[in-house]
Amino acid sequence: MLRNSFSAKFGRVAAFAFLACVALSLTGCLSHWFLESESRLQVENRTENWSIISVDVASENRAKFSSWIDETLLPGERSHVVEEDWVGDFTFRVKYTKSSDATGDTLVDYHEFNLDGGSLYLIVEEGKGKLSYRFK
Amino acid sequence: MKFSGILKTLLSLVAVSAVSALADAVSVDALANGGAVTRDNQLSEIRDVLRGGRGGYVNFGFNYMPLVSQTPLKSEFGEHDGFAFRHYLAGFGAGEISKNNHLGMVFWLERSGWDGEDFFLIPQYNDFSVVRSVATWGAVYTQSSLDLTFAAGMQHQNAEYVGRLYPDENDKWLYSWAHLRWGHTSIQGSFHRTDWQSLRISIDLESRAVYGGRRSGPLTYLPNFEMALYNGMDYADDSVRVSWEQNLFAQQLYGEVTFDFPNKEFHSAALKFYPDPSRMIGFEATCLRRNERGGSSDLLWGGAIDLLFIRLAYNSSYEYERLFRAKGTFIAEIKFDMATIDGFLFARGAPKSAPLESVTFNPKEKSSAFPKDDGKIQLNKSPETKPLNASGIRYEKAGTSSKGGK
Repeated sequence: MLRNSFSAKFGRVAAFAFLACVALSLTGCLSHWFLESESRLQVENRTENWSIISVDVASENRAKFSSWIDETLLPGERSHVVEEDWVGDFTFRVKYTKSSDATGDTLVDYHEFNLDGGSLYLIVEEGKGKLSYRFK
Repeated sequence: MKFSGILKTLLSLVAVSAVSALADAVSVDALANGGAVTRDNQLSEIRDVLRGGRGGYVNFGFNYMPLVSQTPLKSEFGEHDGFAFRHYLAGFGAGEISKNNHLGMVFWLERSGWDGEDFFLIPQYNDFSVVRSVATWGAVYTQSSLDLTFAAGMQHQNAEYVGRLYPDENDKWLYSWAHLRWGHTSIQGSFHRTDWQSLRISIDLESRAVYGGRRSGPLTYLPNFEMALYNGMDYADDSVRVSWEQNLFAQQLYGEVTFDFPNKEFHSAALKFYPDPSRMIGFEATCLRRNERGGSSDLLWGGAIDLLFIRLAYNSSYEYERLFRAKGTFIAEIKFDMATIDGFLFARGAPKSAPLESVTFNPKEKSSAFPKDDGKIQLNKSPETKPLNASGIRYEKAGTSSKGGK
């Protein structure tokens, strides 16, 4: 009887310890081996004649903006890599001009992105009179 | 529960979590109000545990959601991948300092919020995180012959990290609380400096065997009422929430309904089934009004399974109200929740203790009190026991050396 109750208690403790180990192994730092919690964005301007002035994250009502890439990219130029905490679904506001030297009227384009985090290389191209985007 | 059963439960838990990838996001508002909600929940739990005013209680655990898509954060910018989290620890212990006089301590701690990474100790602290801890502690005095308990203490809210989306929040150290229970009635007040925060009046008429009440009978069917008044301060009107908990069958099936005043509105209802009244295992179905004003979508239907160390819930009102209104996903909780009085064990709020293994000893039938031959050491000497004969042992006389050595 003593042995039975001891093994029953030990079994319960072992089961709880096992569950705790499984939970610990799936949560916390280990998940960061395969999940990114930050985004490192680099933008390349692959248009022929247009200049990109800035890339910001826009609020859903497009009233508030958070700057991300704050440098002018002439045709063929690449930005620096900028790390931010945006991981999820967001809208970008891209300010650009239809000139190769960033002069003239500033135009604005909004585009929704799903950012999985990690290194993001965004290629901006010109298509049918407006900007198009793809990640490399 | 068998080991394979636990493994199956765990695998199915991971599977359903994976299916529920399209969960609804938690809001910035819910996270901003998290401190006040936690403080109220902790006092409500302390009220439950102090129904006896003596004995002990241990509760610790955490919510477990393995996927970033289960509790994303909805902000004005969009939906952020990440994790709502809640880690908690609670304890109460009282000792008898003289006959019928018990002195004890309560300590409740919760660290909760939202972060871009899941963690146990060190969060990511990203631009959108909020990490907050709330501690409630106090001293408890119980006079058990008068069935009287008085407790009082402090609450501290520590804003460990507040990201850019949330209103400014400072550490608040000067919340205080007091609790007075006499028999089935208790009154509990919470204060910040000189302002009152909440007042909770409970009338627990149900007879509970763990506190010396009836094991069955009509007295166990008496209702439990709670009325909680909240100070709206400068932001809102004062509000009142009234709850009615009712034993429907043998303290195994309970109904619970909550109304809000002064709007006279239904808030939530629950049907809970406990296979054993010790409440270590439970099944519940809940319905909660979300104040969305969206017709039938205003009501949130959900349920939960509570299996001693694991709780699995979907849209359950308990999780909705404690985990920043998270819904639309399966939420697991790994936990250890055990209360004790006089060596009997039960979960928080239970009316009866768990059935413990016991051996009936009848002194008139000594021979049947112990198994005769089960291969184990027999402490009682029975006539069949053979005497030990040391026939094979040789003794030798000790030499003169035994006399020496001085």
